[in-house]
Amino acid sequence: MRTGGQSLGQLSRPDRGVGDAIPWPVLRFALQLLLATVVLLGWEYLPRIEVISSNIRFLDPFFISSPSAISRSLIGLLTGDNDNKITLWPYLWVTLSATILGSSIGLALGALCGLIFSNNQKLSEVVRPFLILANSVPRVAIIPIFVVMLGPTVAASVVSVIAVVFFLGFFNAFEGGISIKESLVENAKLLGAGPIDIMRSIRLPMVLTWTFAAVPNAISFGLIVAVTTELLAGIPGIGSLILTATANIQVALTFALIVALSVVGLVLYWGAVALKSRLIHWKN
Amino acid sequence: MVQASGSLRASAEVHSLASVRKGIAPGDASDGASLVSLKNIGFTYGGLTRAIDDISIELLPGETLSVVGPSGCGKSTLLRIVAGLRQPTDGTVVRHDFGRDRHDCSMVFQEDTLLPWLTVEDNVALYYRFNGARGVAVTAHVAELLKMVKLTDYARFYPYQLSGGMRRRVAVLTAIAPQPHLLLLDEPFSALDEPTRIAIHTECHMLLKRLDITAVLVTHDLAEAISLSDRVIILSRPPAVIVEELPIPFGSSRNMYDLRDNPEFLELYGRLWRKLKEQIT
Repeated sequence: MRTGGQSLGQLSRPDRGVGDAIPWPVLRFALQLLLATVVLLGWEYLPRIEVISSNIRFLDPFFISSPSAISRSLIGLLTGDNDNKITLWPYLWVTLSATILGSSIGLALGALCGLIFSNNQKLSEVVRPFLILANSVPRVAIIPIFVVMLGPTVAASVVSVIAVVFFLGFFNAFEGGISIKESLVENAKLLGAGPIDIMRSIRLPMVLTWTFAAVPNAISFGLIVAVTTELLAGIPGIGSLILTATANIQVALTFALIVALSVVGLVLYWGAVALKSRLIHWKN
Repeated sequence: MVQASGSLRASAEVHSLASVRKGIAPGDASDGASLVSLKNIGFTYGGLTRAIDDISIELLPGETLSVVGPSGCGKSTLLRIVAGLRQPTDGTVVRHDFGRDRHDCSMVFQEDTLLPWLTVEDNVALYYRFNGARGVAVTAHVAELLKMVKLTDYARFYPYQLSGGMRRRVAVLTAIAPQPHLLLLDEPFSALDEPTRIAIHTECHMLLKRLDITAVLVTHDLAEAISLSDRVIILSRPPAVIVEELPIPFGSSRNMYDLRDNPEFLELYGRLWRKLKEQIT
């Protein structure tokens, strides 16, 4: 409603706040930076206040270390310049290879099974309860079985990752397969498509589309499972480094490994998102 | 009949090649006899619900027939029976004189049937992909079709980059690319706004007449039925029978925009509406 003294031009523009002067992406980044700085400064300096650290165990530097100590430990890990004379890279390679290999195989097998079962309703009705049952089994509980079968090796990590990622790939691919509209197939048939054409030109692309959509989640889950397997079995990856650091109460090293793992996870996720966008670039 | 353009004549060689591969029986569709005969067609869903009861239609070469009726009266089922996608419970469908030079039958569905991973030109060329034909003749034919509906600039676009109207145009082109004897349209334009729908009616009518395609249109929209057709059939509530058959006297060259101001159009609309109203009230 128009109020006295304001022109129509003024009324047609929404009120401009302080934040409107700065573009939102810049403001958002500034706020994120501010938040990170506050957390890091609080983490660094709050535990140095005696009355706080002695009364709140959560802020005791013995348990939570400090950003400066963690960064020193991280640099030491990257360069090999540390008391343990270890570098991150060979361990990282073990974890990464298990994650990527296991996720790729798991997704491929899941997509294949999803394609087969979604193409055969009777077969899918027979096996579906078993697949749901298998998927509901906590995967961490069966990791020791793979370790007993394959020993504390990278192969055990890879198989554990496959066991988790397979179901992710399978259910995505299956949903993709059964989501194909009847009219799509009927249209193809009327245009002269045979069963092989329909499989190659409709079912397979649709199933792969849904499978590719699961790549970022698959990689994230794969990394979690690979590290968990290393933690449980002592396989020489980042998980076993964390296990050793924790056992030796090297809190700064533990946090440094967690930071490294987070960065690796983030890079893998971004890579997976980029891969997904490239593979299904035609999907808005 | 409007003569095909040079490029379309050239594309006939492509159709011929593909048809021979499919082993379509030779014949002649230009003798004036019906192209498809539906004889006493009946259809019962799941052996329980009688949807269609004794429908007989003679579909003449080159004509566009619209089928209108209440919801659930089996219009789409009738179309699928004509397409051979469903078998009638009773009666027979006889296809006469389907020549070897052209594809038998295509359909434009109500749902979006474009393959999202293919570009516009690849979607339009789907028939040729399925029948193993490729090369310069196919490319030229697809380009000619895209040009007819002003989509040349969108040839390399993916479906998600198109508007709803453009996607429908591509769906129509995909179906008519093999220049079928028979084109079945199952409420293809129902989701479009009125101006876009009239624009597509103009293009669709032009394509059907120019390429000499016989068509059956199922629609809820009486104005659409009158605009595009040479004949309109109204079905009863289920079990469906034909309750009205009306010739549309506007000829093969009609202006879709002016048509709706035509008193004759309004009179036809009124007649069809009164007949349809009896079936839906």
